[in-house]
Amino acid sequence: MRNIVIAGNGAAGNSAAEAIRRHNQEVKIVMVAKENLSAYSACALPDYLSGWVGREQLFIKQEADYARQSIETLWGRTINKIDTQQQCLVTDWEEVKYDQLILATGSRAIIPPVPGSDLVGNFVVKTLNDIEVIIQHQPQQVLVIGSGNIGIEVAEALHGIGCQVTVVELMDHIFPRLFDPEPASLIEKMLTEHGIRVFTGEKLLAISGKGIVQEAATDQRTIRCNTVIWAVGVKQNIEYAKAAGIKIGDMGGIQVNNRMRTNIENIYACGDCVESWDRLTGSKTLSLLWPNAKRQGEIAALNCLGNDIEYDGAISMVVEDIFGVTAVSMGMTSNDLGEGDIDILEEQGLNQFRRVLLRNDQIMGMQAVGVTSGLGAVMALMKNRTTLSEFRHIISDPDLRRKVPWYWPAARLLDDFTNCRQGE
Amino acid sequence: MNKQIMIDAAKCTGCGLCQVLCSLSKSHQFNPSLARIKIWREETRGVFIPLTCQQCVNPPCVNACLMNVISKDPITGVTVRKTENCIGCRACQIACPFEACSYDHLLNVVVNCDQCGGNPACVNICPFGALQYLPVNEALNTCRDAEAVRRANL
Repeated sequence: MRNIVIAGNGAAGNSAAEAIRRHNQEVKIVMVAKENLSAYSACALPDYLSGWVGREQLFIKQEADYARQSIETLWGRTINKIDTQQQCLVTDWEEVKYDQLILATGSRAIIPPVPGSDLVGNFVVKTLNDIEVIIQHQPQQVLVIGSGNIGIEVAEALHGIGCQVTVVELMDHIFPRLFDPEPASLIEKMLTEHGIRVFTGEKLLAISGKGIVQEAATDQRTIRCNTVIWAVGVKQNIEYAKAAGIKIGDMGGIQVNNRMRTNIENIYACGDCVESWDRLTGSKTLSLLWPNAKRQGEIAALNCLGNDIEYDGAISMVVEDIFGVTAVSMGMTSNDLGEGDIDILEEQGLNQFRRVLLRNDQIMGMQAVGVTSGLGAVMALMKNRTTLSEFRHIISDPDLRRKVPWYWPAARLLDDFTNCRQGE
Repeated sequence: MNKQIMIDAAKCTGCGLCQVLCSLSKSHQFNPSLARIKIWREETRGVFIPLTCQQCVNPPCVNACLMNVISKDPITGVTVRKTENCIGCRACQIACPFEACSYDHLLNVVVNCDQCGGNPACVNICPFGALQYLPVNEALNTCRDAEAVRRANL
């Protein structure tokens, strides 16, 4: 009987396991993972920190669910080696034979070598255990380094449980990878109004304290804090794969083709640990988002079972809740698109902002703060690569537009822009 | 053959009975905001578009869900939710192009049309035939015939 081994128990790994079981009840599935926990939602971890979601609710699957799907689970294992000749995965406990191997080992949060980053009170937010040690530490004054989605969500969560929170960002605006400067400054304003201090364009130089974090020095000020949370990025867990001769891309992720195959036969990879490509531009990207990981897992699993299904690339969609206001970033930012001709459709209200980025008549990105209606439809236009003129042609024809009901929400959103200009 | 709710927007008058009945059968209240079917209203143009879950084959809401609440029922093909795991983050609502996920503010979860298990209340009440519950092939034929008639009369 065929034996499929999945390394990793995150979004991609579980999506792969479920896709296999949906199509094939016979094949044997073994899941190997480092954490001794059944699958939980990593995206909801900040909500667990804030108390909005209970610990029990975090779990997507219970141990019984694995048994019911007849998935053998080997938790608490560290992968030492992949023996590609013998088709065997060597962990610190046993050797697991595989016919096909799906690597979904994800990534780990990094702490850069800043003086004092080894003191007690330095944390990252990546796993459930990370959150639990933060809660045990009883944070009061918190310094969050980095203002990506993890940084801001954690800052908001800790602010919600009564901590004094300061966010320090090296780049000149918050959410540097998700939002353009203007919406970012609107979000920053909302955070500041609620009492979170935000310092952008500042570099952390050192953390000091006697055994435990007491103070942090940036290039402009010193900040008193008993907790430092690092949200500066992740590193792909690929060391064992590299040692086995699996090709690693330039950005540091496992290189896969559009079937999620690696260069070694019978080994597939998906999720955070792979280097995929952007659906809109085709450029290489490390997508670290939940929906992309799930889709990649599904593609890897289906190809593993002998189907031939193509992955059409990662696309980013991030939804943030900023004190009750929804901020959404989809596709590329104007920084990603760089120089070149981009057109910008923009509308700004007091606490609202939306901007659509267009290149060659095609929607390349959308950022919205305080607006949610029609965003899914614009996302669909972006995914389908419908040009704006095609869209306008359909919407101007009364018979055609009745056939595509979802064009209506998009039309209301896209027609309502007053400020249209060429990008600089 | 599985059945699906077929929407003929040209027949919709925007009366909203479907919404009232949907909220009644699902939440035991007459409250259109709880309905799982919505009517996109463009009153100045006299256009009313009923929007409800289209039961997509590869739905964006399934991938957007952080808690793996949403899945496709392997037998009926309906998009179903284990709402007890839903944390109400509303990511699915934003991902859906049809604006077809409804936030149930009584239970603080997001829900979508489940076709009432095969006897949809909205279809039963629709006075103008804008909503019909038909086997998939028949629905497609109806659409095709209507389009053929329209083109013949051009």
